[in-house]
Amino acid sequence: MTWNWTLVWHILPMILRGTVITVEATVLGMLLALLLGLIWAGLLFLPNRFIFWLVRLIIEFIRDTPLLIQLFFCYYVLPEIGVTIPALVTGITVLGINYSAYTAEVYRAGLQNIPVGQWNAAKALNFTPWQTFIRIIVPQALPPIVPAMGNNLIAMFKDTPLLSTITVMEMLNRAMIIGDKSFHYLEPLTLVGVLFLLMSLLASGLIGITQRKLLVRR
Amino acid sequence: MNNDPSIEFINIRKSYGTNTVLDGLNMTVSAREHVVIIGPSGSGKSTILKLLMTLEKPDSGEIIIDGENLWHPARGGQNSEADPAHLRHMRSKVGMVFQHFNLFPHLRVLQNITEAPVRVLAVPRAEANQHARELLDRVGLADKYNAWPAELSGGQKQRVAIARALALQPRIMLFDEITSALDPEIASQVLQLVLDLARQTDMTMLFVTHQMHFARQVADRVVFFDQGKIVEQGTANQVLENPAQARTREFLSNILMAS
Repeated sequence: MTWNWTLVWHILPMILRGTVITVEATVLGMLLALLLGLIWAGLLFLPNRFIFWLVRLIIEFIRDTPLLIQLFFCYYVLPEIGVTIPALVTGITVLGINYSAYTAEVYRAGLQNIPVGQWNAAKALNFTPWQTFIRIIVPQALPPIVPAMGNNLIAMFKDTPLLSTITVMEMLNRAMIIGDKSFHYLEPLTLVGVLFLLMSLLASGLIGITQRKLLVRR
Repeated sequence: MNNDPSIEFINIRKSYGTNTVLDGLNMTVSAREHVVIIGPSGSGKSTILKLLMTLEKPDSGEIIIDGENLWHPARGGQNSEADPAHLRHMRSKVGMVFQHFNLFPHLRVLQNITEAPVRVLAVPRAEANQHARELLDRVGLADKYNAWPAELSGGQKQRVAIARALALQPRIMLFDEITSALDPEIASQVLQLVLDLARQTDMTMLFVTHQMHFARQVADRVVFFDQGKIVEQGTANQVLENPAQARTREFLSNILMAS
């Protein structure tokens, strides 16, 4: 087994096209997870018991079933009931919904750390519940949870190879196709691994910078 | 001072679990009256203010502000459950200053004051800024408009909190142990500010405080409260100098020992 640089340069463009799809799935999936998670967390703060238990049930269900099964179910079972969604859209949606269960927990921890005095002051100043949430509570809750959210982002990034199982042409899928055709698995798989490593390190760095910026502002 | 009732508590009961904090409270506060509520910790005095601000809901009884029922407004000849619009209408009459200031740490001083007028009353930003600068001048912090709350001392924070409450121009102001978290010297400066405010405006004011000297100066009426009930009330002179009840005398001598 020898390392073949010629092969590396030959397959790099193809792998990088997969990188674009991986990044696309991560960014869009995370945006969905961040938005949906905030909605879950917000609903958990409403005084309505029914909504509370319904949301808790949804979150538990998502967390306690494997992501791979959720992917297969949406890609292979939904068409049987007439719902056909393109592979990449399915992948992004399932990733986003799956990780929203985790971002919701992070949001919730952040929101619970806001002293009750802040809610009281907002009420005394006659803000609506929505204004209170968006203008008073969330801006205070976000900076401390940036690291935890960042970890979720990186975890989701590293889960994107699962999308190869539903035919999405992300990095791993392309590497495996190259391997199957050329019988050289070393270079494509190494390349994909190194790309994941570099981008994870880059994301960690950006998260650190973001958090320092947010903390300095006070 | 005329005697229009501004606030009425009718047979208010409030418990937290098995702990009864208000045991059938009946009390009327006249318009423009300054009432100081004193009593031992846990006697339910702060709860009275929280009920007025709708931070807490009574278990039973009625609260009337300016002739309107807080939780059971009259609709079509009978009392209904308060909806959010009614509660917001009622809250617009009342402002509150808290023991721990509760400034918004993510907003600069000026925006702490302007955020509610701009968002709640839809005051134009420039006008709200102008008014906020005037209020800051009034509380002696004209130069701090651009500071973050974390950069202020406790006394300064409480001054900003007072300006913030005033910005919405409430008819009724509630002061909940506003100097309990401050050093004595700083506390007396903040109390002097509030005293000036009480003398210069015609707001109805309710104070919960342990500062008897301040109570003497500001109060039209002092209410001594213990175990969920009014024990004794009257002018500062009557209640603080010549208390009729043994329980009041005991409380006042304990306070004296502590200070």
